[in-house]
Amino acid sequence: MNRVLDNLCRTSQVLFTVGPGGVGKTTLAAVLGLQAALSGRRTLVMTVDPALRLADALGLGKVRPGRRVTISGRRLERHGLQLRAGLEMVMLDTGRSLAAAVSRQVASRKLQRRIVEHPFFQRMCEDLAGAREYAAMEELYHRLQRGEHDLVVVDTPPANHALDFFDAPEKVLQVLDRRAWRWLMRPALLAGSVGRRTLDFSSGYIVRTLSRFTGMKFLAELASFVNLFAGALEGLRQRAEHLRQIMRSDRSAFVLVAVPEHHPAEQALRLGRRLAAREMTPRLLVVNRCQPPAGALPGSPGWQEGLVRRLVAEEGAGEAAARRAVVALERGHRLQRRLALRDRRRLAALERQAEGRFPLATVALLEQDVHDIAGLEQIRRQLFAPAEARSAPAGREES
Amino acid sequence: MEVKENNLFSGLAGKRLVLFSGKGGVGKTTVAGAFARWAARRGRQVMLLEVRSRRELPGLFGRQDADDGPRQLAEGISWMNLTDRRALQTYGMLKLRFRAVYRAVFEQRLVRRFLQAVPALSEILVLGHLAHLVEHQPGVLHVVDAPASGQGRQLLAAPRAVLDTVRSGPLYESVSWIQDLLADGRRTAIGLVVVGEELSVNEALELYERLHRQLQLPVQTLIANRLLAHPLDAPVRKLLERCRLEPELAPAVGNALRLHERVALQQRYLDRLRAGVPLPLAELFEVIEADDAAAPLRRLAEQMDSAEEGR
Repeated sequence: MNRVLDNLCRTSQVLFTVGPGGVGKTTLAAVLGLQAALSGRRTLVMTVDPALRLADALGLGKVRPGRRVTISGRRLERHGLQLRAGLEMVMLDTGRSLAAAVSRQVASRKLQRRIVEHPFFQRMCEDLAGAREYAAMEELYHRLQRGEHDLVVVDTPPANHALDFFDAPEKVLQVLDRRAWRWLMRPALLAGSVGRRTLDFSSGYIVRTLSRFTGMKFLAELASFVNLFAGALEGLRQRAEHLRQIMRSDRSAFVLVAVPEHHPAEQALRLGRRLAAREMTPRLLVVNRCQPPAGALPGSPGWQEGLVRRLVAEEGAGEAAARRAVVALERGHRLQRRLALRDRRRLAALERQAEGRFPLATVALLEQDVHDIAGLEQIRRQLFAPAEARSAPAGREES
Repeated sequence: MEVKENNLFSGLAGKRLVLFSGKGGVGKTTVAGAFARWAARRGRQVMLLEVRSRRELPGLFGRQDADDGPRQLAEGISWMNLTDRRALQTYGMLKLRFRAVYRAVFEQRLVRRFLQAVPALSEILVLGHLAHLVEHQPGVLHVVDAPASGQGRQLLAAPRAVLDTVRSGPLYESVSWIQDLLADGRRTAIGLVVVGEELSVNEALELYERLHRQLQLPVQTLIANRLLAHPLDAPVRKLLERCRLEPELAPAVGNALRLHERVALQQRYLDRLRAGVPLPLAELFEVIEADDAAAPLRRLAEQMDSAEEGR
């Protein structure tokens, strides 16, 4: 049992899984959520992954973004698991979350509608760098305020964008800051809304130059949006600040995820260092999909000949097939040994590079891909079952 | 769509722009690097491009440099990291023509914020820079390690998105020019890299749907990476199943059958991919031992030879 992880599942309010793409962050988020719900905490697992993998990981098939889904206790009972609190999942719908955030900040229904129906708002939801991440933060904040869950597990986007994720509130709010825009956009604003121009040389020059890129209409449209949105900004800014405090407090914890491959491992470590620099030091590095050690070949000399004879005599095998079976055993052993050795080398290197900043936990590669509760449960047992009950082999041989 | 079954990688090497896309962690970067090496060996002048600061390729060529290039990585292969900032400098400067304007306008913090706010503009800038390189280096094969699925989709979909919303003006013109290059199957090809895992194949199917059917971009090749070879024929498997419980044999039989399971699983996923995407598929195998930092890339490039000959 991994005590650090167990403790995090019992005490944190927000758990972030962070790491490069394709290392199993979503699956781990689901496993952590499952563990917490089994121990009696009301849990929500939230993903911001545009590739919609959480449903896959939980074996739920297609789930519509934005809908909360409750994992039924009966589904879990079939796997011998007893939920002691609710387990829910939600896949982020950027547009819905941002629209909800606006409606919480802007009292006037009419203004709400004008913002949400503005063409720029629609495009912002899809394209603005950090908008999705920002929406996730809003959603997270909202969930925490509602207090319906003891723990929210957040599956973050892949490494390159994970930092965007944590910087998103700041970035997006900066982009939409009206004071700055007022200055920059003045001529465009006035030209667009009032129909006359003022002579502001510096900003007029900038706007003219920018408009060579984009056309003036586009700028005017953008400016009108910033103007509409301005009323919502102060409230959003305060929330962002509050959320930043939560992320840096003991209520939140970060779990790094990697696989024992050179590049993902390096990316994960880099991400860990950068999070630490933001006072969000990861508590643990989970290394997923480690090759299990190779099982030994028979020790007795000449076992090959013995096996061939026996397969022919007792199993009615042809001699050629029996020999191929022996070759297959030897080849399988060699291949598994090479794979396991490579992973051990890489794990050792990872451990060295982590320099004790965060401990490592390993999860062995499963025979099948994880896309159902049974798969999640196998991983959960590797991480949380008491030592004697561990059924799957560890990625590292005990030293 | 007409696809030549033969000469998988030489088909790609005949283009001017080749983009490799796929889910994170499938080895796009290594495949892009190996392909560059393969093409350079055949006499092509190659420019390898990463998009936005991962800067992994120099390391895969055994180099330690940490800036954005451009630099020479090997004979016939130069490398550069495409960033928003650099795109702005090069491509933005081209549009604006003179440096003073650039300084006065684009080096201002406020204006940089603006660039984040304009949807897809940073994507357009990066692609514009890329298109500019392709146009001005006619003899060079540009190989791009595109960002992972979600972001990669955003990158490649950006021109279409802009063309749909901005219907005239200077932005429209430059974006049409970019889109023309991307969509032109004679000059450009997209390769989808997958591994034999369910999520990777699902994403590749989605990506193909989006890029090929919706955006009409020339997805031309599938590359299955990191495959394992461990053939067990049916009679052998049956024999092994029968001795699974014998204590002395159990661990070794466990290995063999487990590996067989994983290999069979890989093949099942690839079969699903073949059923959904009518394109040639190259098979590249996992490189397990790496004697030096540049070994995986070298070994994959060798595999590209045999993939080519095997067809």
